[in-house]
Amino acid sequence: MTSLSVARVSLRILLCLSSIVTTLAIDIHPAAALNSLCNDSATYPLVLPDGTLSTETITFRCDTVTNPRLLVGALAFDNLSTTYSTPAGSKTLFLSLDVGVTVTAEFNGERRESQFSGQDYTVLGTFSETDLVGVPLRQGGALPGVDPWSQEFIDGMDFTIGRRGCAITALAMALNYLGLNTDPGTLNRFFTLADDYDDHGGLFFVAAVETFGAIEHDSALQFHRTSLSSRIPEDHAAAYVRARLQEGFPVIVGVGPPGTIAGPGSKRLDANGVPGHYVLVVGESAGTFLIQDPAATGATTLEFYGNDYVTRGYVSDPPGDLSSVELGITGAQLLVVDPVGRRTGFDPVTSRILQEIPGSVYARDMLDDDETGEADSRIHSTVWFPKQQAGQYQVNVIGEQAGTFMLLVMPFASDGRAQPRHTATGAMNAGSVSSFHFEFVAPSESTRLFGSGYTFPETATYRATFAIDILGVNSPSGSFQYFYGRKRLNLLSTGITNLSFASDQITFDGTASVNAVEGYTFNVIVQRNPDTIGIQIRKPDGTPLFLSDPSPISGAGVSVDAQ
Amino acid sequence: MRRFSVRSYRRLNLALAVIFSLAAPASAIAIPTAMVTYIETSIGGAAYQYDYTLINTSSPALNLDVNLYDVFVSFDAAQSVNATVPVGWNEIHGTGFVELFSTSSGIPPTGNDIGPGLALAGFQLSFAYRAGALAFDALFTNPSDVDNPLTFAGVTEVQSPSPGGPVPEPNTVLLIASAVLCCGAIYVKGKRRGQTLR
Repeated sequence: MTSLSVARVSLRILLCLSSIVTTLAIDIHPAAALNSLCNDSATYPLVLPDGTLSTETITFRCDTVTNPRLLVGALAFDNLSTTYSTPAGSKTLFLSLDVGVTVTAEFNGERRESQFSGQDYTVLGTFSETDLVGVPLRQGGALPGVDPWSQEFIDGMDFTIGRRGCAITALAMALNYLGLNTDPGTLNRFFTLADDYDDHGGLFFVAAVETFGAIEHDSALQFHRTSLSSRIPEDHAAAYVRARLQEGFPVIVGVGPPGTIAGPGSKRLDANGVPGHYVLVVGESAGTFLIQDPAATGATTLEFYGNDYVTRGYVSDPPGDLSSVELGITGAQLLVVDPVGRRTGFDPVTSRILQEIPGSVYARDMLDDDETGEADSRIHSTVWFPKQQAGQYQVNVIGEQAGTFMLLVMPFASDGRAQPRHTATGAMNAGSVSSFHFEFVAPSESTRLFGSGYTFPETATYRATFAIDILGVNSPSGSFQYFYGRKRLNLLSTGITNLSFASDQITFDGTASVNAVEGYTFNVIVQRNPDTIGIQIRKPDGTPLFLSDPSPISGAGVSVDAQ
Repeated sequence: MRRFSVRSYRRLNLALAVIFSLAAPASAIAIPTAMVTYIETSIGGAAYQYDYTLINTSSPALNLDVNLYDVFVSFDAAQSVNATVPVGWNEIHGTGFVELFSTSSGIPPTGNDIGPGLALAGFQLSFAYRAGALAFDALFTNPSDVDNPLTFAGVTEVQSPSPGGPVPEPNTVLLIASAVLCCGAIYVKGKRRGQTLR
C-alpha cells in the first residue's frame, strides 16, 4: 500500500515476472478523480521506475460498473512487452474498488487489498495471456467488506447466498466478465421471481441465464451446459476449459466442498464425482487454472481443490438456433429417452451415466454450506439437451430416497426464450421408477394453425375475439382476424409473412387492414398449455397502434394440426 | 266547459318543473338497453336456425348517440355455429361464442351502428342443437367517455308479433307514471279549494 500526496494520484504496479519484481509509478494527472478513470478514452502516461516518462500509456477501462457501491476498473497495457519483458501482446490488469473503503486487486489468482483514501490506490500483479478481466465477488464468510447481498436468503430457503450461494455468485462473476453488470443479490431476486431454483435451492443454470438475458440483455443469452470430469481422461475437461478461456469465456466448474477438509489440495469431489461448490475459472498459468472462488477460501487456483473438478458451462450470446430443454429434479436420478431411443441420464440397470442424446448433458450437483461445511442432504439432477427432436420423450425418475419429487421440464425456443414449464410430481422410494412423457411437434408445410377464442386484454369488461387459420411454415398463408370491442379495433389480415413454432410457443406475423385501412402490420404470440395470446399491431409508419400482452384464451382456443 | 284556477295552473307548472328536474338527472345515469329477439326454425335433425333482430331499446331522448355496435352471444361451450350477418356487420365465432359487430361507427347513412330506438334484422345463426334463449352482452358507444363503451347484458327472447318497436325503459315508465299521479294530485287539490279562473 502506498500513500501519496493529496495533489497526486498515483498507482504502483508490481510486475511479478520471472521472479523479477519491478515497480512502476504511473503518473495520473492530479485532477483525475476516480470517476474520470472510468472513461474508455482516458489515457495516462507511464512514469518509469527511473522517473522518466515512458512512451507507453496506460488506459483505464471502467466499462463494467456493477452498482454504485462497487466500481470496477480495468487497466489495458499496450506493447509493454518490449520494455518490461512481458509476453508480447496486449496485457490486461484489473482492479475492483470498493469505493471509500478498500481497494481489491487480484492478479495471478492472488488477491491484495489496500485502503483506498479516495485519491490513491495500489494494484499488484499481472495476468497471463489467457487471464480474463472480471469482477471478483465473495459470497460471504470471513472476508472483510462482504456485500450485503451475501445475507439475502435464496428463494424460500433457510440459507443465505453467503452460505450456499456459490453457484449464483460464480454466475454473477461470469456475467460480469462478459460486461453484463450484475451481482448475486440482483440475480437472486431475478431467479426467485422466475422460479429458477429447484425446491431445495439448487440453481437451474440454463433457465437462470435465460432469465437474466430476458431481463437485462437485449438478446437471449445461453448457458452452455457441460459436465466434463477431470477424473475421466476421455472427457478432456482441461482442454475444454482452456479452449473456452482462449475464446474469452470464463468457465464455471464444480469442485469439492470448500469448508469440510482443512488444507489446500485436499478438497475433492465426492466419491461419485458430485461437486458441492462452484468456482469460476478465469485463466491459466503454468498449467494451472486460475480461479475466482466465491467462498472465503483464499483459493486462487484449482490446485486448492486438488484439480478435481467437473465443468458446468459458460455464458455467451450465441447466434443460431438456441432451442433446448432442461429437466431438473432433487433427490432422484433422471433418465431421458428421446424419440429414437437414445438415452441421457442414469441407467438404473447398469448404474452408468449415459449421454447418448446428441449434445446432451447429465449433471449431479450439491450445494454444500460454504460457511459451516455442512453437506447438502439432497443431490440435484439435471438433464439438458439442445435442439429437441420432434416426437415423444420419456422421462424416468429413479428415486434415491423416500419422499416426494417434483420434476421440472423447461423448454427453450429457437431464439432462446423460455417456454412454459411443465411439472410432474409424485412419491418415490429408493430405487423406485416413475415414468413421464412429453412431446415436441415439428412444424412443416402441412402444419395448420387454426382456432378462435376470446381474451380480456385490458379489463374484465371488454373482450377481444380472434380467429386464426394459417397453413404452412416456410410460405405461410391463411387469415387472422382480431376484434377488440373496447377500441373498435377490427383487424383483418391481408398476408401472413411468418409462422414459427418453438415448443409450446407459436409466433406469426403479417400485414393487415385495421378498420378497413390497409398498411398495418401485426405480430402474434400464441402460447400453449395454458393457452394465451398476445398481439402487437403497428401503424403503416411502424409506430405502435395496439399492444396486448399475453392473456388467457377463453372459448375454443388454438389447435395445431401437424398432419 | 271546464275551468281551471290560476293557482292550479301555477301548481301544474311547478309540478312539471319538479318532474323535469327529476328527469334531468335520470338522463345522466340512463343505462342503455338492448333486446335480441329470434325466430327459431328447425332445419332438420337436431339442427336449428335462429334469425335474430338486434334492437337498441335505449331511449332516443335520454341516450342520444348511444349506438349499439357489438353483441357477444354465448352458447353451449361444446357447440359451434354458422353465422351470417347483414351488410356492414361482421362476426367472429368459435365453439361456445359468436361476436357480431358493426364495421363502421355511426348510424346509417354514415355508419352501421344501431341507434337508440332502432333495430336491425338479418343476423342468422345455425346450431347443431336447439339453442333456445341465449345470454348476450352488448356494447354501446359512450359519447361522454369514448374509451369506455357502455355495456348491457341480457338474454335473447322469442320474437313477438310486432318486433322492432322501441320499448320504454323502466325508469322512463316510472317517471311518466309519477308525473301523471302528481298532476292528478295537484288538480284534485285545486278543485277542492274552489278557486276558478275568471
